[in-house]
Amino acid sequence: MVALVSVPRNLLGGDSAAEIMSEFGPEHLRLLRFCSSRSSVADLATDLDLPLGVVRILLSDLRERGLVSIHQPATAGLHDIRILKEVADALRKL
Amino acid sequence: MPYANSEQTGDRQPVPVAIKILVAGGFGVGKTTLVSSVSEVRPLRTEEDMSEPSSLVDQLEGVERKTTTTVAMDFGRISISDDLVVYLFGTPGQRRFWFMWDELAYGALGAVVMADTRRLADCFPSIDYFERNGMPFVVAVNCFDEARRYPSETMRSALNLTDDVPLLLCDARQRASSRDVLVALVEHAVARLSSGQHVTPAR
Repeated sequence: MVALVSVPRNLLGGDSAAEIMSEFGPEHLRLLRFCSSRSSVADLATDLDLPLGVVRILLSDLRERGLVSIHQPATAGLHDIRILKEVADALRKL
Repeated sequence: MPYANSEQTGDRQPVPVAIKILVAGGFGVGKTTLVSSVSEVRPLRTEEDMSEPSSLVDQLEGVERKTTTTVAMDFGRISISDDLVVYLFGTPGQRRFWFMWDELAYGALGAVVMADTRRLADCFPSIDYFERNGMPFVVAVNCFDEARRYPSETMRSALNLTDDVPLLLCDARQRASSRDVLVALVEHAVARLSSGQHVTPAR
């Protein structure tokens, strides 16, 4: 749900929209546009106003084709006191 | 800044840290209010398998083969830096949505359980859930204008809370108050880590 999606840099200037369209549908293309700035699967679902499950399926199609990469966020942060203190400090400034 | 190794996907972009915090509690307790007072809240839709109890509530006449239902969650994002983001998920309070909790809880830092003194029992299931999973949580009593105030000790004993679980009074409408609740949760997680208790992703 909070896995992060990104478009590999070398692909940004590569496949043209038409090429991708011929292979996929307009939903894929729309999703791909939103992926250009690194966001989580949940972010994409809300940006596109699509259910989470639909976004997951579209993303898996795109990943199979190597058009996006999906990273699990660093859960190590949960066990790192330094990071958690940084989070607490930042929240205090809200 | 914290980076972790990326998955084996070919490119070497650093992976940011995402901190997931759940906001749980009974129906109408103020989860949406709390999430929206500290972040820009957006509805997140998810198609879920329909559970037995929900099929009694959702009218299935004419769509008997429908086995999923759309559930909307509150979803908030607080960007701390380019590579550190806090995500807030307001978990649906109704009993028929409990089946979603395991996925939501996976890899979460902890939870805020919201309580209303007029319907204290509504938060019991949330407290049970996080106790069972060993996930750090704080209880935030949302002080509704018309609700009676009780001493903390009275509420702690009514909720059967162990001494280590922080209990706070809050006004979810106030950004500063909601922020303090989140800070208390993160500090609680830090305290548990410092005392050697691991924050284990639930499942």
